Parts: sequence; structure tokens; C-alpha cells
Amino acid sequence: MSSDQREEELLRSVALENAKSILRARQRAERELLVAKEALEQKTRELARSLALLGATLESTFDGIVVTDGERRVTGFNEKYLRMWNIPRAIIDAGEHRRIVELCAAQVCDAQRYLARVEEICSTSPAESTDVLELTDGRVYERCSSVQSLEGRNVGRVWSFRDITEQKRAEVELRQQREWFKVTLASIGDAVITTDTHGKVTFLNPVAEKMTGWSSAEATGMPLEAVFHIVNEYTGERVGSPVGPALRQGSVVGLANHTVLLARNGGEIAIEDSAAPIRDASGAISGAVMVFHDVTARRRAEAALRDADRRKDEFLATLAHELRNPLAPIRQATFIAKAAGASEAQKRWSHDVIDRQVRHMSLLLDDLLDISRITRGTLVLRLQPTDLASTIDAAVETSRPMIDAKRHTLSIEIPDEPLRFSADPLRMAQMLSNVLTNAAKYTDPEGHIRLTASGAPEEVIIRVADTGIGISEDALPRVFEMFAQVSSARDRSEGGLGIGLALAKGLVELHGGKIEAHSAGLGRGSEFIIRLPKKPLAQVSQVDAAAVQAARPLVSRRVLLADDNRDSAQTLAELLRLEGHAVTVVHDGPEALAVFAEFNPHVVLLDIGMPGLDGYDVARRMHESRPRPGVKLIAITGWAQEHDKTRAFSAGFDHHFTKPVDPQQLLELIQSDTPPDNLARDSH
Amino acid sequence: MPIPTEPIGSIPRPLKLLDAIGACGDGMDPRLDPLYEEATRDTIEKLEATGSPVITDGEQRKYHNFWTYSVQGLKNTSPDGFKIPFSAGHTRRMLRLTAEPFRYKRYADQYLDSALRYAHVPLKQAVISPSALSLMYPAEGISGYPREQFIEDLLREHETEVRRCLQKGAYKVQIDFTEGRLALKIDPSGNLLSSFIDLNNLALSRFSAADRQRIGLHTCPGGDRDSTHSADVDYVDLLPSLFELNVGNLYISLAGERDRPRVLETIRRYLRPDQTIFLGVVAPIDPRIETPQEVRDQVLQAAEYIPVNQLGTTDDCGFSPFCDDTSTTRETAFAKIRARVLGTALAAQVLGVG
Repeated sequence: MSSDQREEELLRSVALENAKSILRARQRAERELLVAKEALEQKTRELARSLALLGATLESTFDGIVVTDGERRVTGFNEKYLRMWNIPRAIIDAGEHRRIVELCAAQVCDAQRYLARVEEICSTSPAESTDVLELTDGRVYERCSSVQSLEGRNVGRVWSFRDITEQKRAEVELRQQREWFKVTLASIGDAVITTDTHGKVTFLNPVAEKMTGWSSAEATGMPLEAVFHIVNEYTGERVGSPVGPALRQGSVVGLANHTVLLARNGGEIAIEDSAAPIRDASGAISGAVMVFHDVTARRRAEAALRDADRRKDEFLATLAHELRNPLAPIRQATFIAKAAGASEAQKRWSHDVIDRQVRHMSLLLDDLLDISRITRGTLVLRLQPTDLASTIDAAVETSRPMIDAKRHTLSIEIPDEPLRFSADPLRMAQMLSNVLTNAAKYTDPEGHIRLTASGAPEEVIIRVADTGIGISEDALPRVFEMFAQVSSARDRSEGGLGIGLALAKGLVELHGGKIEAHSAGLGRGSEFIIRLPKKPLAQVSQVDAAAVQAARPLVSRRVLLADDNRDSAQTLAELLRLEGHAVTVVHDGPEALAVFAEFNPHVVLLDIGMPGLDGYDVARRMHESRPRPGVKLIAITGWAQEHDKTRAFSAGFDHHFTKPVDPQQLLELIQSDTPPDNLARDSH
Repeated sequence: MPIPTEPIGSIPRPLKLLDAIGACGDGMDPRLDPLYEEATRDTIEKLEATGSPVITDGEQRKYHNFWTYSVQGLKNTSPDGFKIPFSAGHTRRMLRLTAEPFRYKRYADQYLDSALRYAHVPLKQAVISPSALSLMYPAEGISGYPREQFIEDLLREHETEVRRCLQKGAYKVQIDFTEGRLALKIDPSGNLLSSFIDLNNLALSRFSAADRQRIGLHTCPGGDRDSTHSADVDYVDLLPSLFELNVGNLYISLAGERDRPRVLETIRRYLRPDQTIFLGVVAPIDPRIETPQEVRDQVLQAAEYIPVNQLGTTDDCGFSPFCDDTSTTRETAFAKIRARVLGTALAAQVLGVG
């Protein structure tokens, strides 16, 4: 065998050996192919089932679905789609998407727009699209489409249609409800903040925006604590809002007291707040609503009330003190006067002490009564032509002891020509005296007080300036308030109730005028400016005329006094005698009637509760047998009710006085020609 | 649609390149790179100048031949493989595998990297068939490396090469199966040929139908120094087996056949509808340059047997399958190709598909 033949034989051998291996490889591949084929058949069955499931899924969905390929051929659809658009089977089977689109376009309100939009979607092939379609029969469809991708390649488009008619109607209702809710929240006076269940802000109404300084848009989504920052009014420590407890407890929570809201701009607002959970239709908590409002004004009013109450208590304490002060010297003077070994000089001195202290008490009580009358509106001015200079003289005379005691210099500047105007001279003098006394009190010894008066066409202006302690800026608005000075240590040291300026203000205002206080501050003196309108003198009333008559010189009257209380009767008798009247005292009714006939009194003062005949009977009989019509029958009684007065007047009394009797008023009545109360009903 | 026409692959290397290879003594010497690059560029330019709608890189970088380019240089091979006798009296000796494992030294897609830089028309890439390389495994076997494992490795390497070419953008991947006729020559019973067909089908089965439409298989009686290694084997014995290959394109030499009608009749008989037949209309081993008219007539003759929409033209074989073959000049090769292109176009006009 040649070399070539050997090589050829070797090659054949290799090739044939390979052939055996290739055959085995082929057999193995065929087995694998068989397995793969079986697997493929299994996959095919699974695919068929998946396709069936997909078809069933398509049919079970609430949406109408149609699928198109790149050539706009229909490659799939469900029955729902056909029903929604009333598409005949023949047309869908033809598979022309454009023909179907035309059929649908005929059913929507804006067919042209519908067609243009479909063309746009098909030509631009956006990944997704969503449109709302309004049909001519009132239904509303939502159309969504998305690219159908296969292995990353755009192979068509899936169009789905959903009937959202009911959803749209609900949305409109919800929008209306929200608008109503928004308008309501915007129109209420309270601030409102709503949150979600996590305490994140969802809404602020305009009041809440204004109070917190956060707009609703800014605050939405923020934690409530960042927007609604509240602290304890007294400690300044942060406190929690009621929203947290409301969400946890599921009930209304109010945290009303002592809470201050720190606004975004740093401002502080006293508030009251409360919160309640918001529940959805199922009752689950979906958030919270918090309502709060500004209580700054109320807190101030409460503080003012507390302050007034405090000042009233202090006033009562002062009043008790001021009334008790004179009692000690009176008691001691009385003891001295009654002492067996007291000399006449000691007795007179004692009487002077008693008289001075009683007058002091009387002034206190007069001030109290006057301020009470002004407050109740029962003080009546007796207007008459009044000379300003005389009034100032009277006031200065009253205040002179205080001015002199502190060695003040008083300068008075008034116009040379007489300045007359309509006023109650006594009250004017009282008012001016109070202002002057106030100046004297609050000026250190050896100070200067300057009183100037001027006349203008429409008003009289009186200024009282001093070099005293002055008034701080914050105290200025309160100097005319009742009891305002009570707390002042200086005032207490000078005595008095601290109602002088309040009384002065009341009297000025009764005259239709104004009084102002000015001061450059503590230690820089004060100035009070009184402006009084110049009423024409012709406007003096009848009552004023009576007051003018009352100012005539004293006239002695015969007075019959009947009272079974002997001490009371004797002291009153002495008082009347001191004023120059002739007084006869009796202690029961029959005796009164007897003396009445003989004594022929101008005035009869009758106690009601007397033995024998009571005051009513005595008055009735006196009235029946009255020899002179001008005699005044005056009841003096502890019974002060309106029906008691009525009964007195029915019995024939002309006037009715309630114990304890104001001696001044009684003396004025005895002096005057005042008409009977049962006609004029003057009140005492 | 015109009648498609494609080259088989190799174009004679420039003499300058061959001289340089000879001087280096090693076709893989890096110093040769510029010359390989220039040869590739020039070949592509000239192929495009022929008007060929599809070209190759002329296999300018396939050292040292179309058969062993993928394993040339492997350390576990020896040059004493089997010997292929050519009718001109010379032989070509293949490599023999000496140890495991069997791996390619290079894949043909790397030639595409270079060629794509110059090409302006679609590029096809030729690769060697697994059946050809299967002959590397020695008859006595390799200890610890059974023949079955070798076959499996061979199939995997072949699949890798084809996939890489497809992924790089090769217009077609042509599997060179010149050993078909050789198999019948070695084993007239046809068993070896069936075995080769099976092996190639096992490789092709790893690709999708779409991929297989871009894969073709070329068979010829071999061509080296103007001679063949198996032209004496009757084509009719081979062709039925060729059509069993699961491939979309068959490149079959025909120009050099003596009885073309007989061959065409056989093709008509076994042609499958999913296959396109590219018939050789110029013969590289024939120094004479065919005229376009001759080519046209061959096509028209073929069209009598084969549906025109399944008919294409090609060269009978590569013009220089072995790189040192200078029996055909580059100019002749380009002229023959130009004749193929023009003749095919003429035939298309006649057939009304131009």
C-alpha cells in the first residue's frame, strides 16, 4: 500500500469514526428535539389557555377595549366595546379602525374634535393618552390608550373606554359641596384648620391664614405644629394642639384656657381652640378640623373686671378706714365733754373737735352720695345765672385749708370783666374745689398751683396746673375712673377716698362740659382743663329758679317735731334750732295734734311709727283741720319703699324723708318754697 | 426585483503582501498588519468598482487558507494532518489536533471589523464548515478527550463564529463546504457525506429560521492552482444531500460543470421553496474571462429550471482559497466578477426582473 493510499485510508478511518460520533450527536439532538417538541406542545397548550384567559379577562373587564396594529387594523376587542358604541359585528369583523372611529364620532358631541384627536394620537403615537368624551345622549366616557409593545417594539395600540357618567356627576356634586364648604369656612368668623390623619395641614380658611400668617397653599402638607404654634399664656411653654387628642380619641376636644398662638410674624394672640375628628362615609377617621378664635378682647375685659373688683375692694377698705378715723377723736372728745371735771374751755374744745370730725365725715358721705347720684343719673343741677369769679372764690375757700397746710402758692388769673353763665354754682364750686384739692394733694409742700379762666364765645375754659408729682402716660387714661387713686400711696397718706376727680368729671359732664388731664410725665406736674358750654341765661329752668330763691337769706320757721324716739327727736330739734328755727317737740300722735292747733307751725315733721296715733293718722287729721294751706307736712320714717311713699302722700304728707335724714336737705326744704313732693315728686 | 449576485469570497492577495509574508515566515507577524489593511482596502475598492451589489473582503487576512484560518497557530495542533490531493498533482496538508480542548484561535468576525471600515455595499463573510474541521480529530483518538466531546466543542465554536458575524452585520454568512464532493470521493457509499450533512445540520439547527435566511452553504470541487480535488465525483450524487441542509442559501458551482442541464434538472428536482440557489456562472480555475453575454446565457438557461425569484448568481469558487495561490491574477478575478455582475443584469433584463 502506497503512502497516498495509507493516508487516504487513514482519512477515511477518521471520517468514519467521526461519522459514528456525529450520528450519536444527531441522535442526542433528535432526542433533545423531541423533548423540546413536547415542551413546545406543552407551552402551546399553556399559551392557548393563557390566550383563553386573556380573552375571558378582556370580556370580564368593565372597560370596552379595542386593539389596533400599526396599520390601524383591529387586532382585538371585547363585547363590552361593541355594546358601548353600538358597533355592528360586520364592521368590527372588517377590522377597519378608521370606519369604527367614524361610527363613534357620530355619537359624541364634538365629532370633528374627536376625529382630529384620534388622528393625532395615531400619528404621534404617544406612550399614553387620556381623553374625556361627552356623548350626545349625556353619557361621558373616559378614553385611555397606550402603546402596545412587544419585545420593546411598538406593535400597536390598546384603546380602553370607561363609562364615567356617574363618576362625573359625583365629581360635580363633590365640587359643589367643596365650594359650599369653602365659602362657609371663608365666611365664618372663627379660624379653621383641617388636617389629615397624620396631622398634616390640608386647609386654612382666611381667618386662620390671617391669624397664623400662613397661606393655605403654603401650609398644605406641613405638620400642624409648624403652622399652629401655641404656648401656655403664663409659662410660655409649648402646648399641644387639640388635633392630636381628637384624632386619637375620636371625639371633640377643647383646650380653651390660657393658650397663646404665636403667629408667623412673631405676634401673640390669645385664643380658644377645639378640634373634632372628620369621619368619612364609613365612619373611619379621615382627618381633623380645628376651630379657634381670638379672645384677646375678652381676656382684657376679664382683666379689667378683675382690676375693677380689686379697686372696689380697696375702696371699701379705704372707706371703712376713712369713716373710722373720725370716730376716735369724737369718742374721746365726747368722753372729755362728759367728764365731771371738764372745764368750759375743754368742753368747747371737745365740741369743736366733734363738730370738725362730723363735718369731715359729712363731706365724705356727701361725696359718696353725689357720686352715687351721678352714676344713677339722679343728680339734678340747679342751673342759675352764675358768676365765675364767685364760684372760683367759693371753691378756693373750700380747698384753702389743704393748700395752706402744704404751704402751696396759689395764683389765680381770671378775666377782669364779669363772666356769667348758666350753671349750678354749688356744684361748680364743688367740682373746682375737688380739682384744686387734688392739685394740692399731689404736689409736694411749697409747690405752685395756678388757676386760670377764660371765656370764649361758646365756652368757659378753666385750667388748674400744678408743679406736683405728675401722672405717668399709662395712668393718664384712668385718672378720672372711680377709685383710681385709691391704690396710690400718696393718696392714702393724704386721706380721702380717691373719688374727687371722678366726681369732678361727673359734675362737668352734667353741665355738658369736658374735663381733660394732661401731664408731661411723673415729676413734671399736671394740668386739668375744664371746658364748660356757655348756656344762654334765659334757659334757666323753673327748678333753677327755685334754687335761686333758695339762695335767699335764711328765714326762721316754726317747726313741730313729733317722734317717739326721744334722742332722735332732740338732736334733730337742736339742729333746727341752730339754724334759727323755733321747734316744739312732742313724742306721740295725740300730743302732736294738740300742739299743732296751738303752735301754728310752718312745718310739721312726723314720725310714722308713734304710739296712740301713727304718723298717717296724725297727718290725715292735720290735713283735714289745717288752718293754713302753706304748712308743710313732712314724713320722717324708716320705711323707704315706693309704696310707703305713696301711702304717705295719700295720708296728706307733702314730703317724705327716709331715716337717717340728710340734715342739709331737710334744712333746705324747710327754708324753701318748694312745692310738695306729692305734686313735684322731688326725690330725697 | 433583480437577480441577486454575490461573490464566493477569496481574491488573490497582492504580490507585495505575499512577498512580505514570505519574508516574515509567519503570516501572523504584527508587522504585516499595514499590508493586510491596505490589501483589504484595495480589494474592497476594486470589488465595489465591479458593480457587485454584495462584496467580501477577498479573504485578504485569511492566513493561511479558507480551511484552517480559525485554528492556525493553535499549540495543540500539528501540521501532519490528512492530505488533500489536487488534480494538478499537488497536495495540501491539514492540521491535526493533538490535545484537548478544541477551541478556535480566531473567529471570522474579526475580518469584518476591518472590512466594514471601507465597504459601502453589503458585506458577506465566509466561514469554514464544522464538517471540514471535524477531520482534525485523529483516528486514534485523544486520551481524556473523547470524540463526542470534540464534536460538541466544534459545534459550539462554529455557532459562536456564525453568531458573531451575524451580530457584526454580515449581510450573509457563507459556510464553505468544499469537502462534500471529497466525502463522496473518500466514501462512495455516501455515509460519510450523510455524516457531514448531519453535522452541519446540527450546527444550523442552533439558529432561527430568520438567521438561516442569512446563512448560506457553498460547495464546489475545490479550487487551487487552477485545479480541483474532487471534480471527478458526479455532482448528481452530491446534490440531493445538499438540499437536506437546513439553510436558506446554496452557492453551487456550475460554470465548470460539463453537463449543466443534468445538474440543473437535479437542482429543480430537489430545490425547496425556502431556498435561494446561487449558481456559479464564472470559473476561477479557468484563466479565460467570461463575457457578460456568456454569463447572461448561463442565467437564462438556469432560469428554465429554477424559478427566477429563487435564482442568484455567484462564482464557482473563491479565486484564491489558499493564500499563496497566484495562479489567477487579481485583475482576472475582478474582470470575471464584473462579467458576472453585468451578465446577471443582462439576464434580469431579458427575464423582465431587472
